[in-house]
Amino acid sequence: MRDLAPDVVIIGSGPAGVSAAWPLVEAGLKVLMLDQGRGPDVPRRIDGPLSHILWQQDDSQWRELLGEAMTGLGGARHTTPKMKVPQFGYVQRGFEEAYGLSADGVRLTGSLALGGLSNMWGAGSFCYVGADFTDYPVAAEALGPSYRAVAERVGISGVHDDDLAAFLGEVPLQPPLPLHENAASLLARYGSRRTAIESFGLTLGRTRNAVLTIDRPDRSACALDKMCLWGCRQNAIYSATYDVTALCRKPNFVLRRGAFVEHIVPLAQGGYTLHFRDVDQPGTECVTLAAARVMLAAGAIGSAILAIDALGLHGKAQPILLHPAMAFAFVLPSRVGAPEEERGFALGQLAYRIDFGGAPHDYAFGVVFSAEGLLASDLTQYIPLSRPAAAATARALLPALLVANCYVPSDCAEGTITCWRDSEGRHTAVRGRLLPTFDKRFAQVRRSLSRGFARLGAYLLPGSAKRAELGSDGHYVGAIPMNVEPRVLSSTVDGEVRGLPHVFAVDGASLPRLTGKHPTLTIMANADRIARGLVERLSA
Amino acid sequence: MVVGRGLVDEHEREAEALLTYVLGCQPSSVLKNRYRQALVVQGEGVVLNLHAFALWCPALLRLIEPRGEPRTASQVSLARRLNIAMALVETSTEGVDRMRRPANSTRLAIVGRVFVALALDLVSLPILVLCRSLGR
Repeated sequence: MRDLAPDVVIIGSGPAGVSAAWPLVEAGLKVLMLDQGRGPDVPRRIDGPLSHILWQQDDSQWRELLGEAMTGLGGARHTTPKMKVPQFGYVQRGFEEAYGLSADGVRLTGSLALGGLSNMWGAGSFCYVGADFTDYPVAAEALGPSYRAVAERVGISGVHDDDLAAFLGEVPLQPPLPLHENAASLLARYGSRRTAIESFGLTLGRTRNAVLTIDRPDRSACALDKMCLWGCRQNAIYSATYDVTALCRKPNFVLRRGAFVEHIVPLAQGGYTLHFRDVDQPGTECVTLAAARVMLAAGAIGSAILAIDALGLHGKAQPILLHPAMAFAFVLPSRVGAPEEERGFALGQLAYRIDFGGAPHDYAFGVVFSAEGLLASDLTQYIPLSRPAAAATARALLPALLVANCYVPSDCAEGTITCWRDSEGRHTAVRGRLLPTFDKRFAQVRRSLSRGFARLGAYLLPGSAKRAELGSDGHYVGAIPMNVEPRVLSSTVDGEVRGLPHVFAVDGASLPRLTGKHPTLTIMANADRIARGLVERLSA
Repeated sequence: MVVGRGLVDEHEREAEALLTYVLGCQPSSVLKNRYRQALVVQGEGVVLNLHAFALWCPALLRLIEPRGEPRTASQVSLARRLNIAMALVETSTEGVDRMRRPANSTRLAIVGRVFVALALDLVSLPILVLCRSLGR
């Protein structure tokens, strides 16, 4: 394979890249994946549950939790706690510099690491169903087989029989993870007070996580060590790197690490020349490679830049979609000062939906987490007391806290991406802002959650309702949307970029709209669908 | 401007004051060194201009520490250093008992400490307001 021209070149090794690769590889096509492929800087030093790491009287624990370079001390407040964990420091490193990015009103999130942002994924895995496909040129049925294939490969734990099951989609599931006591208490009360809760537009159920509960040959089931935020020791939480490793065992798949693709140049006779920089050999000239078909899976920002470049759309602002988000903290008074659970799963516990009463796709969706995987010192920054008082309060509150994120549809914000070149090289500006409708939605969500959860015994912590900075979750999509009505930068229903035949946008860039649901599983399923479509075309 | 050995001594005093304040007892030299190392890697070279009383009795920091969002540049600096001190304390051997729940702490003791800490904050509030007014 190494000596032969690849049938398809995939740019990017994240969830979309590997999801597109599998159908192609299984169909016998020769696939070359180009990726900068940055890996972790340091191996983990300590094994065992978080409580052991914090309590084992080991002076090296600070290296594990804050990092040798103490990156975990970062003063900036992060929406996703994983973003400041030293273990994941490598994931976003170099992203902004590589693309010459600047931001206005958004936080830039992206990755040049092998496996992309999936290395620090929150693992929430939800299908789009029914009305979620409003504005999509594909129907739910078209994505069904792809959702199932991806869910099977990734390994998703959850349940099929609660109030949210149909809303979260029909996919193969592994048995659910055990619930934290706080979440279990909420869910138990919800069972008996459902009617009252539904009057607030609120529906509650268990969340679904891309986390194994059954061992696989290359990954183990969750060991409930509460280290989810700090780097799973068992590889139970999905990362696209596991798929890359598995793909590399296939004879017709090659991964070229250290390759940062700078340009895709269309050739007059058809096909493309890819210019990529070998980042392992700085100072050397760009390497060129001929490609008949290209799949863009470099993330919505990276893929948009490559497409804008190839189409010569420099200097023109192109729309990009952002996912407006908010966060809330709830306290269960009955659990204040209670013993922390020795073992458990420290990511998503429950999921909820809040209907706004309008169109069926107009809803907020969020996941409820336990707070026991967090450090108390992170919490003290949010408590308006002196540090000693905040520390005592945080210690008492941690076992009683539930933290909820919440997303509303992408039409509550607007964003653009603009690329241009000058003598200094390439520049890209990403701009975004929340629209006035977001404030209305924020107030609605806060009202529904505070009233609904109060009925379940969890009370909104005063001052804890926060608007998240746009982009801080990494949910950038829609730069090359699949549109029935063509626009300048868009793709067909088959994912083919208009104006660039045989170039396919397979990552989040191709989604035309976001509902409140986290889009990762849909991005993966859509990549799988586009790749299957290409296989069909080629075999025909 | 403090340089060389003098700067090291100033950082030492600052480390001792802030760590004692959040830890509630004298910090070890290992923890103080770690604090100084953290200032270096975080690019926090300038010594905090702490009042002599706060250096002498770190508990008095309760009277000048900003509550909630810091507003002035000096408050921002103090809040940032306190965040560093808090994180170092929590991830240190000696701070584990203070910030996380040790096996032998009762629930009553934990909740009791919250009330004591809140009471101290309440008592210090008028002095905090007075200090702010005099500061203006």
